[in-house]
Amino acid sequence: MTLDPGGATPLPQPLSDEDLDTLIEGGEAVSDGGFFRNMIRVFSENKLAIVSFFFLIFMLLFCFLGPHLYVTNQTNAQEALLNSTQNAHPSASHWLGTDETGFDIVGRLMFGGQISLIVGFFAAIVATVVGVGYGALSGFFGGWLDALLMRFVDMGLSIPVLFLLIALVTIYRPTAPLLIVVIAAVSWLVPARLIRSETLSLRTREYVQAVRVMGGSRRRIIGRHIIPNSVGTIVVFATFCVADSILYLAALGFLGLGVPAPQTDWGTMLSNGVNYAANGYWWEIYPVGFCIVFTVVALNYVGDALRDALEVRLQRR
Amino acid sequence: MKGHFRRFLAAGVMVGALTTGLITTLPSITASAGAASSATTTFTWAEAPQTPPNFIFPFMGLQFFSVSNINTFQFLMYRPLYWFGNGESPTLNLGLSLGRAPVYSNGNTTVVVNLKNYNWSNGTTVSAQNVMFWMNMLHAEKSNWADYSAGALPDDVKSITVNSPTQLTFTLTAAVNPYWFTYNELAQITPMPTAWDISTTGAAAGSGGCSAAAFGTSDTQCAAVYTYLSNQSGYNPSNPDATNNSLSTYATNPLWQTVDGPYHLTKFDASGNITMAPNPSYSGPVKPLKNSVFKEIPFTTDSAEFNALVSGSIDAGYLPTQDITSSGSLSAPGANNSRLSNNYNLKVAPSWSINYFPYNFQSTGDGGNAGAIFSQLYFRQAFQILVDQSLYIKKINKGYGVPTYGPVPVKPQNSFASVYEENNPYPYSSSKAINLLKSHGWTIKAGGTSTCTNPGSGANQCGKGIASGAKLAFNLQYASGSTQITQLMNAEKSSWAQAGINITLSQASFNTVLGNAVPCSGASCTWELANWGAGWIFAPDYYPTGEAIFQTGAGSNSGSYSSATNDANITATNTTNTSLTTYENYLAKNLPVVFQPNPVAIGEIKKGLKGATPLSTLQQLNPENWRF
Repeated sequence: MTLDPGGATPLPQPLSDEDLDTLIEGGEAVSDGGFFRNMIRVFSENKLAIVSFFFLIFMLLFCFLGPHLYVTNQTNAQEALLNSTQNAHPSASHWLGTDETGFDIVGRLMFGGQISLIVGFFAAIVATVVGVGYGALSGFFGGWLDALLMRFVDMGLSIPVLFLLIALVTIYRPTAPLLIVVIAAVSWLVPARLIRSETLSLRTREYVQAVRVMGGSRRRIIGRHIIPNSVGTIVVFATFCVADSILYLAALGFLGLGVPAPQTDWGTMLSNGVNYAANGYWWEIYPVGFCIVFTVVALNYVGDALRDALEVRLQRR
Repeated sequence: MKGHFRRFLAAGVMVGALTTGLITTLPSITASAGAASSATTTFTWAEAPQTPPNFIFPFMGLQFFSVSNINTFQFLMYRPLYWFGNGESPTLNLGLSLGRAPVYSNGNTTVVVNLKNYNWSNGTTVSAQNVMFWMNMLHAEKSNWADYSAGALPDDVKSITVNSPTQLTFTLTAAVNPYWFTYNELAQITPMPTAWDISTTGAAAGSGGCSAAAFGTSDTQCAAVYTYLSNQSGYNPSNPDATNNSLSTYATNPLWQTVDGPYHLTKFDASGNITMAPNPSYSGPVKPLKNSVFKEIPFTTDSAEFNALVSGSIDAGYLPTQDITSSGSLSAPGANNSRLSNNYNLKVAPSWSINYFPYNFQSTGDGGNAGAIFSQLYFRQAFQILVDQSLYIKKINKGYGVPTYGPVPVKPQNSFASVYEENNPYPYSSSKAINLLKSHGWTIKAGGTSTCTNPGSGANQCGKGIASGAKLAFNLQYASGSTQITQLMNAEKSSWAQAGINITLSQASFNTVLGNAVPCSGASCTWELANWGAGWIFAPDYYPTGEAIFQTGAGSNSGSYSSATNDANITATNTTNTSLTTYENYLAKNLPVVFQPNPVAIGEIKKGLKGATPLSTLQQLNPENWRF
């Protein structure tokens, strides 16, 4: 019998993914009650974030539930012209007055808010998913693939965002789905770079090396170790991305490139209102301006608090 | 004797639509060192939003045939043979014309035109040969002249004889209505200098062989000259869609510096920033102020123009409808906006125009059904019935508008408009529109898209060429930059939706919409509806007989409308002094286009500026009259 060099101890066999699931791994994100409790505790210590969180809940209810309680015509311009007074001051029948067509401003804020929030949230989701996947792949594989992928990101980041948005929206007829795609198309670059950096760090950690040695697949490493351990960065970015997307949409709407009538968004409302700034029709400017500013600020506060909360979690691992 | 005609596209009506901006003037006195006599006075005028001039050669196709290119730009440098407009009256103005009154004889088959003693800025005289140059150009390139209609100029001219440097005789193929021939035919002519008769840069004046030849004998040479001049103006006839790269050369190209109008160009950019200086050789009755410059200022939106008015930085502009703070009307204007009333006087004027936008009867859009659907009179009736012009004028235009119910302007007051047209043949009624469509085989889906469920050519069926399942869903591109037009389009979209006519709106610049809405045919002819915002101003077809816009095959018949009855009606008005009633009543009933409310011009003229009023009903600009 011939002995293997190194002794009589049999060589370890690679573990299956199922076996790995039964092991406690230092770096794999496993949910436990402590994590959420800690996160909520830290989050709740930020009073502004709490206020902001409930403000966002209010805005969601205002935009999506409000139209069922405060019913107004928001789609028929002919009817609005016929039956309403244009640019009417706030009154009992129109709490925030009417716009140049005769649409009720409160109803308009709800109607426009739906588009703004939907585009904001979905654009952020798309941008985050694409950016995270792209960045994780780039960082994990490294080498020429990383260089190639990151140069592409560099090119994208070098193009002025507003310029690119305007070009895309000019070429294609703006609709809510298109705006989601277009805004996501310019927003995924930053998370891609962030996650790529995060991945470069994480892939050298011992627990990742351990999974490699134990034969864990690349998919498993990225899906179960790299991305979950980047969740703090991802969630914080996603939160800010919602705010940025709402601002992008507002900017496009302000430039007349928002969703086409009879739909509207907050930016388009603001743009229309500015036409009447000289005439003192404040109700066509300030309320929608309030909605944009406070929603974005609230999202930023929530994002800040989430970052703190998730950082605490990491510190206590 | 009969009349004349002429026409010309009213793109600039957008200007009017936007409420019209007209003239302006004013003074920023830029002091120069030394004597007061060397001070420069700057007169500034506001262009309508997003309507920068984009063509300088005064011979163009429909895509460039606009008020912004012709009335408020080219006319300042290149005067037409006959000038029309006496303040608010769209009539012949011999005082500003290059020619004396035409003399008709031989049963209205011979016309003698005598020229005055005008000079070009290069020292040569404006001669009969310069008129012949334009006529030869037209003979060779009539398909590229937007005002051309079959049977009219140059088809109705048998020969032209140059009797002397200042006299020509037109011999016509048949008797004409002299009023029509003067107002709609001779009115088209813009004499061109011999210096332009070249086909290559640097060639000797006249070497092109188009100006000196007998009428109609130099088509090949004229075509070459046309190609050269068009290219110098930025339009490549062999590649019509190419980008205009010559705009930046307008002020420096020596070609365009030979002028017979009161101004010559000193600065021009693609955005529409224009500076003109007086032509010291101008032979007209009123010369521009010495040491003055005239500037045209572009704006991307009417709100930006209003802000410029508030700041006092322009001398003549227009009041956007959203900034009208006191409703009024053509006959009884309201008070001026309080933010402007200290510095500006509000002036209103009707436009010698009709407002409409075309159906593309040749459109292959909507799955190939669009053209066939537009060809159905019942559909056009339903579509027009849903346009509530009175409401729009009252609520959107704040009373400053005139309804358009037919092909002849109702204002300014004239003897041409018929009672039938004035009394709206198709008053607003959503139920009537819905019933019309239902009774012709359409299943109505209010707020959605109606579909054809009974195809065929029978009286109660959708009509010839309309497939089962065809949808009443169309694309409508309209001019951007004007709040008033946007409001109107949105309101009409809602109104059409009541009958399940689903209109998808999109915006583009005025020049883009105008360039898209041209006659076409074949698979690539996909545009369906297009609204450049201003319809048609009857210039240079000052007699509103409509041959340029409604006659079969006419150069400015954007939607390719065709009706043998209408063609015959037009011919009758062109050849005899018959009234326009038959012609206009037929079209008012037949709806060749979508008639729209026509805004009146609301000008803001700086206080102290003289010579800028009354506003021209033809949207012409005469800053040579301006004084401060």
